[in-house]
Amino acid sequence: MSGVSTRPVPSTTELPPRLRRPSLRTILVVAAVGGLLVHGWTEGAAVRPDSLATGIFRLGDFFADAVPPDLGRLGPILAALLVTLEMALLGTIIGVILSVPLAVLAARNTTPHWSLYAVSRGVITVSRTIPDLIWGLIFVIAVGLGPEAGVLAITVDVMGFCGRFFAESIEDIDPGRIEGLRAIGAPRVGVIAGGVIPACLPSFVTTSMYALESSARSSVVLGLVGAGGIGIEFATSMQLLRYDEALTIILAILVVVVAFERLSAAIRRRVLGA
Amino acid sequence: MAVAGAATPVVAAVTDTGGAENVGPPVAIDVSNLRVRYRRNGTDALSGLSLRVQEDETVALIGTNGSGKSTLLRCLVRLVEPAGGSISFGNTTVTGASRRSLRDIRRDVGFVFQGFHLIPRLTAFHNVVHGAMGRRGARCAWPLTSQGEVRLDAIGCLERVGLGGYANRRVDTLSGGQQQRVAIARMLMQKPRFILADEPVASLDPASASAVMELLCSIAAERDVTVVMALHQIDLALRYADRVVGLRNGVLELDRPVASCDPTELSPIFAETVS
Repeated sequence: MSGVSTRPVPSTTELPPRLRRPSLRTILVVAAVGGLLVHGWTEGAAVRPDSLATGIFRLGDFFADAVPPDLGRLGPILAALLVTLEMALLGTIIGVILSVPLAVLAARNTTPHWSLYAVSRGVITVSRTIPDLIWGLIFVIAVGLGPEAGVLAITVDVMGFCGRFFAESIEDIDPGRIEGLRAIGAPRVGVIAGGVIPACLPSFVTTSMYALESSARSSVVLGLVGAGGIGIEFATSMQLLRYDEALTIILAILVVVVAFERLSAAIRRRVLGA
Repeated sequence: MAVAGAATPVVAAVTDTGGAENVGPPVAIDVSNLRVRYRRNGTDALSGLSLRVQEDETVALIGTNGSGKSTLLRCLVRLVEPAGGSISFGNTTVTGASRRSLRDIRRDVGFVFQGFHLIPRLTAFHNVVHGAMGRRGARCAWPLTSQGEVRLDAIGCLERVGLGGYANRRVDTLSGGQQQRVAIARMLMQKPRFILADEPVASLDPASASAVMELLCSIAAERDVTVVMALHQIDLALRYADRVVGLRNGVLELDRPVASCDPTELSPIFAETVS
């Protein structure tokens, strides 16, 4: 019996190239990104080894001053942290509640009219693209310094985030579920309340939990622009060079934000697991 | 390819609008010269289809995939919009009806889908309560807000389909046959005068299919409901229908009472089609 030949059989089909020639668009995108990086380097948007080397020593000075953390003002710090948490919680709840009707109007399969679709998509885009810090500054002008501005800033930010993802979740729904209720003669509100929202609920809950985590972080930063909470305490400690007090605040924030993340992860697991 | 000798009775049934039509049972569903066009490629899904279904009659639509059975059923309640022709249920015209009138028409028409079209995360009871939304409004979107008599009705409907003990089970934990029974119970909540069933047993095993067909037809018989159902199984069509209508490439090619129907003449309806 003769052995099996290992020689490749000649083929008339051309062998595909190992690397395809990049398209003109790819070349243009790579060139644009490269140009931005070079321009940024010349304008100071760079990471230089010499400044890193000196920076590490300054960071060491900061930690030398900060450790051990000063617990002398723990009471007022925890009170401010509580306000921060309440800002995050209230802003997220209001934002999520407002996002549901906004998303229904902004989803192609549930919007009653194209003009409402366009307006609601516009509201979502504006809410989402303007950073929460800028919303904070705007609401400080509108309602004055304090947590109210923070709550409003978080609400608008959550509306942008949840509005977009809720709408996408509604658009991804199996059309049969809507068709099944439409065939019954159910009114539009009934189709949304009885079919769309229950079907999208797991997605709504997970998105809301991510929004809550994000709000917990941004509520801290919002204080820096005068929108209430722990941020003001932190800014004051840093400006007065009370690094040991600042470290206490950082550790308190860390504990709370991690607790928020754990809580939201547990709720997500429970909802998705159910 | 047309089925030999099959088209003639159809033409007679549709075009014979003389005095004789007043003698027979009243017409429940009247479809005239119906045209539906696929938006994506501009071809006709239904080409000038005409059909009359009499009150209390059970009609089986047969044909290959893409022959137009589902399109016809969906078009009857305008889940698919027709490009031309007219449809009426009794004295009520479906084509041209306003959004509100259309909802009123749909209340009377129970629709059973191949894919059940239930809300999977909700319980069987909650899904059945949805069936009252056409008559009782959006309050029936949730059992919590629905009226007491609706809740009692829902339990009654679940018991009628043999699922009284499954009220609190999520429908996505039920078998295919049980889900279709829940869908039938939801349809019963409508108290329909007409039932449209789009391949109601296509995704079920033979035993579940027979049980579901038995249930559907016994409900239709006890409530004097007119039924139009799309089926792939010729044996089921011959067993449960009064009349068999064959579609091919969107054209009505066969229309025969089951009593005078020879199974061999139905087979060509399922023959390979050339698009």
